[in-house]
Amino acid sequence: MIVLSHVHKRYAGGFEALHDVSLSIDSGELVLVTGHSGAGKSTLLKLIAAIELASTGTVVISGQNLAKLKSAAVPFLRRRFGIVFQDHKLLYDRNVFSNVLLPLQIAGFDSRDAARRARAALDKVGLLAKEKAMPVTLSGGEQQRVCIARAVVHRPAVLLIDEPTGNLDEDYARDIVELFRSFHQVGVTVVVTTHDRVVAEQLGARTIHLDHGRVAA
Amino acid sequence: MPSLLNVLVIGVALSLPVGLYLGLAQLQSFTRQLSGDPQISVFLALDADSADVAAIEQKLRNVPGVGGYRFIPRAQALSALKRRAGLSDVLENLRQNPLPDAFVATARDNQPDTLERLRAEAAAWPKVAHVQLDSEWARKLDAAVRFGRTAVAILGILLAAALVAVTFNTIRLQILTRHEEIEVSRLIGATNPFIRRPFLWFGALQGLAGGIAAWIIVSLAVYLLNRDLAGLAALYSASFRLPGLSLEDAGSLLAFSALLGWLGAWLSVTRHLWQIGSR
Repeated sequence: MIVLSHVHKRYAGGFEALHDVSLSIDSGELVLVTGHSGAGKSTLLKLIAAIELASTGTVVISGQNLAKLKSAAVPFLRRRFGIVFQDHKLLYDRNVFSNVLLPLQIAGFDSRDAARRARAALDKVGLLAKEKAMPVTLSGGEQQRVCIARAVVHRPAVLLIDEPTGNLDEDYARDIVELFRSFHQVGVTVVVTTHDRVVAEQLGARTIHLDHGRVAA
Repeated sequence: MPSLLNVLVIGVALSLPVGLYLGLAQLQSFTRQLSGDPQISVFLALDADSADVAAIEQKLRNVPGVGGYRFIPRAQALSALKRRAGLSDVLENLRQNPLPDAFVATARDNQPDTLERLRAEAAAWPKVAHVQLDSEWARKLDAAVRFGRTAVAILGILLAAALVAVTFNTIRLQILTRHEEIEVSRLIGATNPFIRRPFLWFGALQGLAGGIAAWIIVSLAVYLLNRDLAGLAALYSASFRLPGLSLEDAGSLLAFSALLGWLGAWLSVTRHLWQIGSR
């Protein structure tokens, strides 16, 4: 389903974030991408989500070569993903419910159906009681749960999660990881990047290790 | 919601060409009425007697270009002048009537060359002191009004551009404050039309509100001007009033202002989306 072949990613200034990366992730698979900070994990997710383009090599999602994808088709590709950003990227002038509702509004869901789905997603992450709260009043862990609810609310085929446990305490991190496992169990392809060994051990999934932008053997 | 200040700026900008357009349209309609039948006034010499009058009448009857005529005796002209110009006191003190006998002839053709030929022919007749094309001033005024309309059209285009610029800038500022929302929306699958939509609605709504403000301003101005104009026109025994905007014109104004607002917003958002690229 996700295939990267000989992918290089160079940024302006010459820094090479990924070097000759080739990998494939099957549909419904749970994959862990590990590596130290700056190893290229986040860049890998950005390439998969078509947020950035590979400098050379090909990234193919469900048979579509992203380099050949027309600009107008990119948003529709992204709707097949749910992305949990490391910095959450919540809208701080909207309440929790409105944040979670956004992907459904973008996808053109009927407002009543959208509201029902948004509440179900908030219930799943345990934040239904805080649907009217503003994100700034939530803790870091709660904000991340809002981000997760927003990522799964439209039932994406692929969940891309960037450093989910970066600033969380161990118990909270364990709960979050279990949440991802539950999404995987219902058939969602889950790609998690982390440099946290505890998360890696807890998930027990296939691991792709990146080292200075290269896939380690 | 559109800010009151922006709406007022747009309203004032639109009301200027709309008001001028209304005034000029009324003036042009007035001059066209006056210049509809080309008339030639043939003024006789003060010493012309009834035989001379009869001779000139005969000539007028025989000129093919003359469709009809009427004779205005000098006494009748004087009494008409007393009635119309409010100069009765001055005219009463005259020892003799200074006005000549006159014929007012209507030409069959309103082509300038034909009228000029007719004027020259009549001027050469004996006992004719002066021949005047009565519609000449109206034609000149009509030409001036047409020039004025072109000037108003140019002004209108410039102010329409100003409206687009005002909306463009308002939307640019909105985009800056909603930059994160746009970025996040794009990352989770928003298309460009989805991102544009609220801004386009805002631009159109602001333009529409500006159009309504212009309608109110013009209507108020027309009401106030007509109050004074009625008194002025009465002094000249005339009836002249500025028309307000018809429903059709008002509808066009509102649609046009909303369209301009929409255009300003579209240009602003499109420029921003182009700047941040497709990814």
